[in-house]
Amino acid sequence: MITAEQEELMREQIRHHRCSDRSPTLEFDSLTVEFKSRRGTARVVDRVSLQVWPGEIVGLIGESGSGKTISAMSALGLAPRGASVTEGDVRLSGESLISMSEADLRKVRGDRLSLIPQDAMRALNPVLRIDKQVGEPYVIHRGSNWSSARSRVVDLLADVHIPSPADRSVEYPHQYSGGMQQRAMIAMGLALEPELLIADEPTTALDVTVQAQVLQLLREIRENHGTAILFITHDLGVIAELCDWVYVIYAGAIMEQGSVEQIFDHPRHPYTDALLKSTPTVHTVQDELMSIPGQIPSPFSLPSGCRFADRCDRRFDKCSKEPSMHAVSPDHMARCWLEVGE
Amino acid sequence: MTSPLVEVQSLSKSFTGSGPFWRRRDVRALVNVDLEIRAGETVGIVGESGSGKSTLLRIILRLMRPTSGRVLIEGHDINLLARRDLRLMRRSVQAVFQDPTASFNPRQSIGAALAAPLEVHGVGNSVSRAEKVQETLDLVGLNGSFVERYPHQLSGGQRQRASIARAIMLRPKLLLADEPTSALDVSVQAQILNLFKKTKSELGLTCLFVSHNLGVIRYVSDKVAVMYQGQIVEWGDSEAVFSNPRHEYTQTLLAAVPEANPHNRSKGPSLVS
Ligand SMILES: Nc1ncnc2c1ncn2[C@@H]1O[C@H](COP(=O)(O)OP(=O)(O)OP(=O)(O)O)[C@@H](O)[C@H]1O
Ligand SMILES: Nc1ncnc2c1ncn2[C@@H]1O[C@H](COP(=O)(O)OP(=O)(O)OP(=O)(O)O)[C@@H](O)[C@H]1O
Ligand code: SF4
Ligand SMILES: [Mg+2]
Ligand SMILES: [Mg+2]
Repeated sequence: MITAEQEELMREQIRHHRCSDRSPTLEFDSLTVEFKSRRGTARVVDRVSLQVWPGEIVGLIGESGSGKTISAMSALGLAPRGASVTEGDVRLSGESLISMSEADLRKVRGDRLSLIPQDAMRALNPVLRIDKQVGEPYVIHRGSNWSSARSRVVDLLADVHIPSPADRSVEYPHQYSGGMQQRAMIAMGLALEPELLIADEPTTALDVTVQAQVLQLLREIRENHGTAILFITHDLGVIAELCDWVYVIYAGAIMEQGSVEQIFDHPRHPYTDALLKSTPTVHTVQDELMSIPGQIPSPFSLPSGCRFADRCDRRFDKCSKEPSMHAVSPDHMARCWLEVGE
Repeated sequence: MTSPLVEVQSLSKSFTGSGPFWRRRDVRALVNVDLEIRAGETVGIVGESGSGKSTLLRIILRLMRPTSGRVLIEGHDINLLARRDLRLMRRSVQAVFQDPTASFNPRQSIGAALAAPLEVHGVGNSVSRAEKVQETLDLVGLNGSFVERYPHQLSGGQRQRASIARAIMLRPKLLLADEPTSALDVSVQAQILNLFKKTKSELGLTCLFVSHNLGVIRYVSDKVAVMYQGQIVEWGDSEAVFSNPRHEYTQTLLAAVPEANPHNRSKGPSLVS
């Protein structure tokens, strides 16, 4: 059992574990995003706090519909129509992005931070050649001319293994396969070696060998430029391979966080545990995959207690109240009543 | 032995290349591909990104004409079908596309989009159609509230599930699925994969399933085709391909699968290639 002082100490150690002095590159401070509609208010991101320190690669995993994309987009001021940040803040190296003017935000986006969006095919402009799109940040943010931008583009496309990059750079998005479109977006995201990179499921359309090369590129950009990376993915293998720290989100709230070793070796939250057990593997034949029964609660009517309760097989009487985040070891926290002593 | 449901015979597809004409080279998306799918079987396709998987599916769906070669469904060349047979084929062959956003009309609610195939083929009345929509959404783990929503109001994975629901509305004989679970978390993915398996055993669904996730392919497929640069370089029973891969590219693929174990990190591949 852990006392309050011990826990406070552990929180301090957690901070220390990840970064001792500098301020985080990206910080979500109790970020809350809501949709208002005729049917009421949907709270899709609920007081999410997370940090990404300089040079750190942080994974964000969670159920489909749990608010990963919306929180990333809201942070960049790109929330969809109808969504608004109702509480909390997002800071880039200490500077609030939420209160920044649209003009300043536009300067920051693409220059100091870049986003690789979940839907590459939708993000690309169908009537603009690939080289124009990938090269644009150089021209806009670095004042480069088009001919030198073009040669950089060809290098970048080669980095992400587009075959015959010089010839294919002058094609249009519809001439690219799904994975090639995704790689064009990755190239664009890496172009300016930003301070912060948010990558929303960037490798879903890539075969595992190209994926491995892209992950290597990300490691290099972090080594060489200290880029902080927030990596949203469903692929637990990629998390294990790439990330230093992991946040697990469920129905809009962070349920567990910890070093990648802690999350995989000692998952403490029943949701994380179930996720780890649902993965199909290449190594064995499986008769039936485990899945978590039921559905994620609707953001219009979140339960008042633990939001995982109606699907949790370890639920007990305390779970009708909302648990808070508890430190369980110097590099690990979980939001579950099982972690709380008497 | 039953005759195959789908036969792909020396299929090739080239796209005119871009760039200045004196060094323009065509993109050879498919090169002499042969493939057979028997009724009730799930064939998995894995392969390099850009190796022609989506092109193959588009040709089988008649969305694109091959440069040469042909595709037979139940023994009939799909590009020579009479109008009536074409209608039947459209009904019994359904697809889940790699890009679920593009396949939905942004101005149509999910409920309307799912009911549309039933209406087009004159199935049931509006009440029974609404019930069927509800039932199918439930199968893919989306509750009733999604009927009224529009595509842009869904998360990536929710949209993908809506597109799976639409593809199975008419209970097709043949389902072509291009990366149908790429946007799903592993638990929802497990739910969908179990659904595929169940539909297959209960309704005899035949399925061509493209995925970059080798674990997924191993789990759902009876047979596996491995594609590389427009060709099928390895073909065989799923078990044989996974436990004893013969082609070098298959071996490379299997070796590159990231393991869900942070203690076994690879050093990362060398970037010189
Ligand atoms: N425009 C919108 N109007 C209303 N609700 C929306 C809208 N866009 C998204 N949502 C809802 O907000 C929730 C969070 O969506 P988000 O896209 O952030 O999920 P996600 O975690 O990225 O999921 P996925 O893994 O499937 O991409 C979902 O329940 C989704 O249905
Ligand atoms: N409409 C088109 N015009 C020109 N080239 C095309 C077109 N469609 C596909 N290609 C090219 O054909 C090749 C095969 O593309 P395809 O989309 O079939 O690949 P894929 O195997 O599905 O790849 P991914 O796994 O990345 O989705 C690629 O080089 C692609 O750029
Ligand atoms: S708080 Fe209770 S219901 Fe929630 S995850 Fe923990 S044990 Fe399960
Ligand atoms: Mg998303
Ligand atoms: Mg494809």
